[in-house]
This record gives sequence, C-alpha cells and structure tokens, in this order.
Amino acid sequence: MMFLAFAMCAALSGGEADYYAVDYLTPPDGEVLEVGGLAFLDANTLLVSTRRGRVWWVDNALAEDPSQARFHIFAEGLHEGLGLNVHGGQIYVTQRGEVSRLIDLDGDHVCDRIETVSLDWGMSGNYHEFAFGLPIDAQGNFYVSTNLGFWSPEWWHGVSKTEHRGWILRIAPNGEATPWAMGTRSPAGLGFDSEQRLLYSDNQGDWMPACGIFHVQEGEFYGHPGSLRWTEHYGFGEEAPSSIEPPETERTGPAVWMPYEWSKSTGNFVPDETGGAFGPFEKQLFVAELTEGTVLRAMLEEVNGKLQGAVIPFVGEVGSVLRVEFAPDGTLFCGMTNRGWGGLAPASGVARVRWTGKTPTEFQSVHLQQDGFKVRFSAPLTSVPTLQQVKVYDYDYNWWWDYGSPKTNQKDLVVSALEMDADGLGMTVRLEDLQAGKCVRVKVEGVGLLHDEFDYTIHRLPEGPAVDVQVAKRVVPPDQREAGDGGWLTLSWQDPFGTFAGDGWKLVDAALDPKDKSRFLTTPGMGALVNGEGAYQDFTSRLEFGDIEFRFSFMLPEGGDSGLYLMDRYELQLTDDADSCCGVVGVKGPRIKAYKGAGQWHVVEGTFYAPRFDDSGQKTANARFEEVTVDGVTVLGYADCPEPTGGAVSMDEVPFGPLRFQGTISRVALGDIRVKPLRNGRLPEGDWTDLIEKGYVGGSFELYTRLTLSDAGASRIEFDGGEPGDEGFQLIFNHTAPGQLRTGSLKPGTGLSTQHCFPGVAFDLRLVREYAAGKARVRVWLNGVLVNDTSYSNASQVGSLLWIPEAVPGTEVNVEHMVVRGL
Amino acid sequence: MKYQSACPWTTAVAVLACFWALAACGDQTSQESESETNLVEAEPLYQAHCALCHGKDGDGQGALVLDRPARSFLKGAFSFGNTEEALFRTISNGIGGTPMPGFKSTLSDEQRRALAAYVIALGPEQVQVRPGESEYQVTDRPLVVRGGLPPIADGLAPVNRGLLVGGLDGLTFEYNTKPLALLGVRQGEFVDRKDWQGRGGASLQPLGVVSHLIDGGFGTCNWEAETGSGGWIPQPAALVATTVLEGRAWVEYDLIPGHSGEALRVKETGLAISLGGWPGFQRIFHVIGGLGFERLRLAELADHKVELVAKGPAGRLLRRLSEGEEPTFYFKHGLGMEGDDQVMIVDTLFGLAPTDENLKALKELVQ
Repeated sequence: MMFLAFAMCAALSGGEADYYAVDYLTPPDGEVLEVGGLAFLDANTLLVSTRRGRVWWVDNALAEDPSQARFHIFAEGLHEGLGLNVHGGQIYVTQRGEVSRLIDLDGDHVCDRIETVSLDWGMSGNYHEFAFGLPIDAQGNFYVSTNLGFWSPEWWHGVSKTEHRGWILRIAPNGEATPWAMGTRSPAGLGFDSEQRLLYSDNQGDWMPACGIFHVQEGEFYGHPGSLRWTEHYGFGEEAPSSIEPPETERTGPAVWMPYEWSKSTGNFVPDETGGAFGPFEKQLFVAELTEGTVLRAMLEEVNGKLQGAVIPFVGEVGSVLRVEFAPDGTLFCGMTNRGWGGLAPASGVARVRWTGKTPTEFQSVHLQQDGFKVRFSAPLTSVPTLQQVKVYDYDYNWWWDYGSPKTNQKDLVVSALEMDADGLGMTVRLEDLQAGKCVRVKVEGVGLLHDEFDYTIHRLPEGPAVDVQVAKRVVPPDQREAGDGGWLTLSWQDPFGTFAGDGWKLVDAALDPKDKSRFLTTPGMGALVNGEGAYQDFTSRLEFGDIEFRFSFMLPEGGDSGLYLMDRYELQLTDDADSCCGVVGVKGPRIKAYKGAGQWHVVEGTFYAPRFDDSGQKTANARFEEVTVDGVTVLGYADCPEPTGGAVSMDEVPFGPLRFQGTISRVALGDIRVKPLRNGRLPEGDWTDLIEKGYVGGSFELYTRLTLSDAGASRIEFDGGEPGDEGFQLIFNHTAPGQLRTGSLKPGTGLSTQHCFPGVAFDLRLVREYAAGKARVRVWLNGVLVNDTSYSNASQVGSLLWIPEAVPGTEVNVEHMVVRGL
Repeated sequence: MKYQSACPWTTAVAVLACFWALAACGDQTSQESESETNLVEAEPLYQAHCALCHGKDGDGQGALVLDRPARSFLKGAFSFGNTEEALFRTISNGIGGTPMPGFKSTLSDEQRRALAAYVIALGPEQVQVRPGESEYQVTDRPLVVRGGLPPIADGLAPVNRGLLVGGLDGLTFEYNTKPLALLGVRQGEFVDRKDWQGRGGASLQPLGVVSHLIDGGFGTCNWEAETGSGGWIPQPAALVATTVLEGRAWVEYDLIPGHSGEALRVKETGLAISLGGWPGFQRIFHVIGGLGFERLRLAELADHKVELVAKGPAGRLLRRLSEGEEPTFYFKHGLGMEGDDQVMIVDTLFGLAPTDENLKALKELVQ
C-alpha cells in the first residue's frame, strides 16, 4: 500500500497572506506614481518610470519598513515611460516615441543627458499608440512593442496607421530598428523568461479573444491583422488589411491564453530567478494583471517544439498591477497604474510581494501528457483526490474582429484515472479525448490547494504533428457594426400581404378625419397598412420568429386601441393613451409618455426575447422585452413576461411564433414593419464545399450563402434533377428587379412576393433539400427565419447545383460564401 | 384594455389590470418628480438600462447570464477606457461582439453622460490631476520636456513627437523631434502637462506666447546643405540627445547627408538676449568635428530670404526681405572655434521696425 505524505497535518490552508505578504512603498508627498516601468539599478536602488514622464530613484526600497523608501526624481519630462531597464550599468527607458539612455553626468543621481537610441516607429498622434518595453538581450539589442491606434468613428478596430504599429521591433545597440514580429494589438508586456526566450503579452479585444502571452520569434504573426499593412503582401503600407475578414497569414498562437475571469488586462511578467527566495516556483513566470489587481503565475514548457503551458492565480487584491519586477533579494515589486483603463484600487504606487517562508499547497508544476497532465504539488495535500474531486473541461475561442470571445465549444472531459506519485506530492490526471487546439481547465477540489484550478493552453500534444492547432478558431466574421440595415428583414415592402394575412387590410394613404378624429380618411396610395372599417381583423405574419429586434410605425385615431403581439402571445400595447401606449399589457407601463397623440405617426423599436426551454421542454427563462422606444425615447427598459398576456392566441408558450397586430378593436395604420432576427442564421462551423469553385451533386443537402445583391439585380441557384419528370427547382435572388418572385422564392414551388432584403446589404440564406422515397422537401431561411417550405413528389434522388450570378444583365453580386454539404 | 371576446383568460386580465394600475401610479410619481427637477437622474437610468447585466450595485453580477460576463463597475474596469468621454462613447455605441449594446438611439446625450458619470462614481477613486499640478515652471534648472504638441500656429499640424526646452530666462524653444527642427520660440510660462490626464497621448500645452516662428513654424529642416553644383537643399536632422548642464539646455543632433558622407553633429542652445535695448533670443550652434559650416546654412537665413545690411568686426547684420514679417533683423556673429568645436551664434531681434534710426543703431552694434 502506497504511503502518502498527506499532512493530516497540513491542516487547513490559510489565505494567500499567510504565504505571501503584500505591502506598499510610501510615495513622495502628493505624488501619484503611475508606474510604467520598474528596474533595479543595484541591490538596493529601485528605479520607477511613470506615465507622467518621470523616473524616480528609490533608495532603501528593500527596507523592512516600506515607509523608509526614499524617492527623488532622477529624470523628468519624458513622453511617458512604459518600459525601463538597466543594462551594463546604463539606464534605458521606453518613451512613447523613443528609446532613450538616461545619463547622470555629474554623479548627483539626477539625469543630465537623455540620449536617443531610436525613434524609428510611426506615431500618428492617436491616444492609444503606446510603446512598451524594454527587454535587452545579451547582444545589447532592445525590444519594443507598439500599440495599435483606435480611431473614430470605428473605434473598435485597432488600426496600424503609421509604420510598424502593432509590431515588436528589435533595436540594435547602434539604434537601427528592425521590424521583428507582428500582429500585436495592445502588447503591454515584453520580456524574457528564464531560458532567455522573448515573450510578449497582449490584451483582449479585436482579434485577441483573451489576453495571452506569446513567444516572440522573428517574422511571426500573432493575430491582429492591422500590423500586416507593413508587409510585402500589403505593399508595405499601400493597402490596409481588412478589419473584418481574417487574413490568410499563418498565425502563431500564444504560449498561454489567460482566462477572462482571471485576466482582463495583462501587464508584463518576470521569471523567478531568485534561487528559492520567492518560494517554490523557480523559473516560472509571474504575471501582472491590471484589471483584477492580481499577480498570476504561468508555467510554460516546450511540447513538441511549441512553448505552451498553464496559468493559475497567485496573489489577489494587490491593485492595478501593470508591472512586476524581482528585487535582488527575491521580493516581487509591483508597479500600479490604471488611468484611463480602470482596475482594482490602489490605482497607483509600488507594492511589494514577499514570501513569508511558509510554503502554500499549490500546483507547483504542470506538464502535458498525451492523455492528461502530470502535476506536482508544492506541499502535501490534505487527502488523496477522488475522481469526483477532479473536474475538467475544455473550450476554445473565436478569432474574429469582435471584442474578445466567449469560451466556445465548452465541454466536460472525462477523468479516466488519477495516479498519485509515490511521495504523494504529485499525480497524473488521465483524460479521455484530450485534444490540441483547446484550453483545458483542471480543478481539484477539497484537497487543500490554495488555488485549486489551472488553465492549460494546448496548441500541440506531445505526440503528433508538430504544428499548432489554433485554440482561437477562424470563424465567419460577425457583421460589421453599424452596418445600418444589415441583418434586418423587411416584412411590408412591395407586397405586405405576402407576409401578413388579415381580411380587410389594405394598402392606402390614411389621415385623421378632421370632422371626426376617431375616424380615418383613406385615399388610394401606399403610405399605410390599414384595417377595414367595421370589418376588423388582426394582421398576422405567416413567418415565425424567436428573438428579434423589431421596428414599425403606427398611427391611431382618437380612442384607438391596437397592439403588437410578439409570438402571437405577448402584447405591446398600442393605444391612444400616453399613459399606457407601448407598455406591456399587465406587466409594465411605459416609464415616459412618449406617445404624442392621435393622427401622429410613431416609430416603435425594441428587442424581444422568446422564452427559453430546456431539453425536456421545461421553460427556463421568460419571454421579455428590452429597450422599447417610441420615436427614440425609451419607454420600456425591460419587461419580463411570466406568461402570455391577455389576448394571447394561447397560454401555452413556444419558442417561435408570428407577429400579430391587433386590428379587432379600432382602426390602426401601420407602416414599415421590420425585424432583425438575433439568431441570424450565419454559417456554422463544419466541413463545407465551396459551391462556386467545386460544384455539388447530391440529393439531400444543406446550402449556406452570404451575399450582397445590387439594386435591380437578380441571381439564382438551379438544382437540376437527374431523373426524368423532376424538373428541379430554382432558388431566386431578387430583391428589387422586375418580376414577381422575390429573394427566397422557389420556382416551381412557393413564391415570395414580399421584399425581405435590402439591395447592397449582405444577407444570409440557408437552403435545405431533404429527399426520401421520391419526395423532396425544400426549405429556405433568410437571416435565420424560415421563409419557404415547399414539398414535391417525383423528385430526383440526386441532382446538381448550379450558381447563376447574373440572372438579369447588369447584376452585381458579392458572394462572401456559398457552401454546401450533404445531409 | 378592451378585448372583444370573453375568453378563459378574462379573469387573469382583471387581476393583471390591478397590477397595471399600481405600476402606472408608481411611474407617474417618478415622472412628476423628474419633470419638477428637470434633472437627469442617473440611478433610475442605471437600474433600467444597466443593472440587468452589470448588477443593481454595479458588481457585474446581473440577473442575465452572459457568455462574457459584464464588467464590475466596483472594480472600475472598462474595455475601452474609464474616462467620462470614453464611457460616454461606449454607452453610446456598445461593444461589438459582446452583449453590451449601444444606447445612442434610445437615450439622450444627457442621459448617457449622466450614466457615464454614474458608473465611474461606482468604481474606485480615480487618479486625478490636481489643479496646477501638471504645470511645470522652470526654477533653478532648465527643463526639457518631450511630448506631443498642438499646432504652433493656425493651419499647421500637431506635432506627434515634440520637445520643449524651457530656459531660466523665460524662453521656451519648441522643437519637432522627428525630424529635429526648431519650430518657434515662446516667452512666458513653460508648459502644462495635459498628457497627465485622460488615457494618455494628449498633447502638452505650452504656456508661453509665440514670439517667433522659424519659417512659419512648418519646421521640418532648419538647415540647408550646399550641393555639388552650388545649389542648396534642405538638410534633415536626427535627434541625438538633450543635455542640461550648468544652467543651460542643449539639443544635439546629426545632420545626415543625403548622399554617402559623414554625418555632422551639431548641438545648439538658446537664450534670451537684449541687444541695444531690443529683446530677442540667441541661438548658439556648435559643430562637433566634421565639415563645419562652410557648406551649411540656416534655412531661415538663406540668401533669398535676407539681405546683408552691415558687416563689421562683431558680425553681420541681416534684414529680412519680406516686409511685414517678424523678425526683421538677425545678427550673425561669433563664428570661431571653441575647443575642437566650431561655433556660430545667431541673434534674432523681436519687434524692431526697419526705420533709418533703428538701422543706424544696429549698424553701430556691428561695428
């Protein structure tokens, strides 16, 4: 029987403070130390560069009593100072626009001379064009990382407007700058690990699904396309890469992605080379985390030629740590600042983290195995973990222009075995289905670990191909923001009666009858959809929707009373009464009287979420309205509907349903009805065949396309049945060209007479053909909404698909993708 | 609240109608107080628009489960900056790809500004620059400050890499750093470091009044070099160092020839002077080694821009050719050696009209 050294003994772990004590230097009176760089000049002299362009000389920084530290200004008037280093006895600083050497000519510990080493990178003046640094290698080369700019109006796209923004530059001792590696976004930390490998940290945002620490090697690309502008492919500045479409350039994944819950703004990192003075984590990286105000620990290893590894929380509640640096005595100094970014208090100053000499029980090391992890503990556990105490899941990310990425494809991994080391200080966790291209979260509960979970980034497994499988997956880019009409479907254009049914409704012009304002006067025209006087009927869509943004116009006569039933069940009240108009019946009234009165047109916009159900059909979330506005004024922030409102078609709740305008009480005029489905029918991941390049032959298949069609243009896809009698079908793309059949129509089959899509705006179309026993069913979705469902007999088992881009002359069509796969 | 048919849900409607009436009462009260005070109250806006995701207390623990959890305002952390302006922008536009929506079309400017201030106030105290704290005055030692600069004159571009040299005598020499060139000279207070505020990258605010622009302040090349064929071309300069020593600040730079050839190292300093009672400033240039000044000239003193008025043992008096532009007179003197360095001194005099009387007095100075 194995003897395990569990410390029954080890009793309960204390908090972090039992093992690592944090104290704070007392800054000079009134001085706000917005720390951008830390470096030790000698055993007892700390230098602190700040965003205010100062370098502070700190004597006595290691004194037991932190208030004994003595600050004086060494250098002044710099253009920020987000990097600092001492090399060969010389002090170097990274300013926003240059790397400089700071020289004290007369020995009074005040800088007299600032020498320019290099200022060879572009600056456009954008606020976000920070420059970070400043590691120096054995040959005296400096490394600087440059931030992208963020410009209005599309300020969410990082842009490399001037040369070599979004790059890491190598600057030779003679000042010559070489663009070294690219693809950075907000590369706040740059430094060497204990093996003298150059690493940099980046910050979550566009093209950075999470913060990460990357291994910097010449010529590599880390993911943000902005920087590629300064490469040959883009004519060295001639052409800007797309800020939406992922580039084809081969990408190098980070050594470790930092989970969002642990790191939102990663600063720099330093290896523990203290020889044990800082505890049992020799050679590991300690990582600054600004937002959460913590220090994290990264354990990296080379696996199959790739530097990768795990990250784990280390010490919390420090403050907005941007910089970490080890003092000669093994104390970890933390420099804080959060101006403009935000982070845990304190927002400035210098903290010290000191090992108390007591060893915490931690994951001391983590090594990837082909089927799991081999971990060692820094101190005995309180008990042997059981399989149930080990919880593991994996996930990946989207690599896209949107800000950050959720964890995607998260799934639990089965722990197949736990094998304890003979000394009880380590174990191997064996997992089923461990894959490359995943982050893996391992948690071991209830065995006395101070921090009981780590997150490991796997780009490569120990055995297998020595190529990265990206954790951040290339995905179809989300819609460009502010794309105006993108994602919307119009429901009342050209022929509203193709979409809505309601006896007596007409397309006319309508106005209040001046003699009797409770009545409408209608005249021939196309300005309004109006229910028939005295023959009231509801106006109900044939299409069904789930989560949508909606928009429509309405006008009421005096005393008018109507409503919009979302999903035929949840009524947004439309009444000639500002106290109730656009409230949700029985749930919430409008918070502001935005309704202006009878005879006036109002535009209503809002978002509606359908109720949610679990697999057993049990409701898990109520239907709700959000941000309902009348003429731009918010009347409802949020209205939760525990059940269908009065007048619902049924009290049963369902995931999809039609729109119904109430037309049974009084007259009402409607106009420009639109919806934007929130589950928008974008191309899912999978193995797809490009229809245009490769063609397709099959019988049961699914087709996705995203395209933009010019005004008055028309295209089609033909399915040619291979058997006599089956004439196949045509799928029509025609928003505004002459003809009766609008986009989404099938010919022969069901034609659509309503124009749902805008010319010049991309839309998503999905088509599914299912064949069985001589019958075929063909369905078409536009932006995720089922618009056509046609079945026919005498169908061919197999046929071929053909794309006809120019069905009428002069058509311009831009196909983002048109792909197909068999079902 | 009218429905045509009597249905099983009629009772439910009646009950709900009571709730409705109560809710309406509550709303009515708040509306009245709002209209009475006519103020944008942020708290109700916050609860209505933000709390669902960010939590009613701002702790990021809202009722909605999001794929990327909302940020905690208590920690004061924001994806696109935590200044009021940055928050206003984020609240207006949302953050693409995240559940954070934009409120531009649903909330007024005032409401969004009120919300920005409200969520900032929920967070930890932010570093503030105290009034006057970021103003630098030159006291016992010249100061050199690097940073972005606003345009020195109307119609010019801002300078992304700038350099201000503040002397003990109240003059500020304002440079573009890349390429290195003096743009102008100011008199008065030194600088307000506006870049200490906001998210970074703001321009410095020089406080002195511009008393002289070099070549209109366009400032890319202060120097011209003679070509082999006798013409003159602009000669770019690259910053080498700034030095403050013995009460004087020096700017050091290399003039790098367009063709292959040795760079020429120049260092210059400036100071206030009074010449015959007229105020001005002096630029002292040292050429360290190299070819010397024979084939270089200051662009401002090119032949087509000035004329020689008088020449004497003390130097040369030059007058600007284009009338009505300041300054009118330059005094070029001090050509000679200082150690291994060649030295040239140019005085620029302010506010001196080209009258016969003035000319006579200046000529005497030259003699």
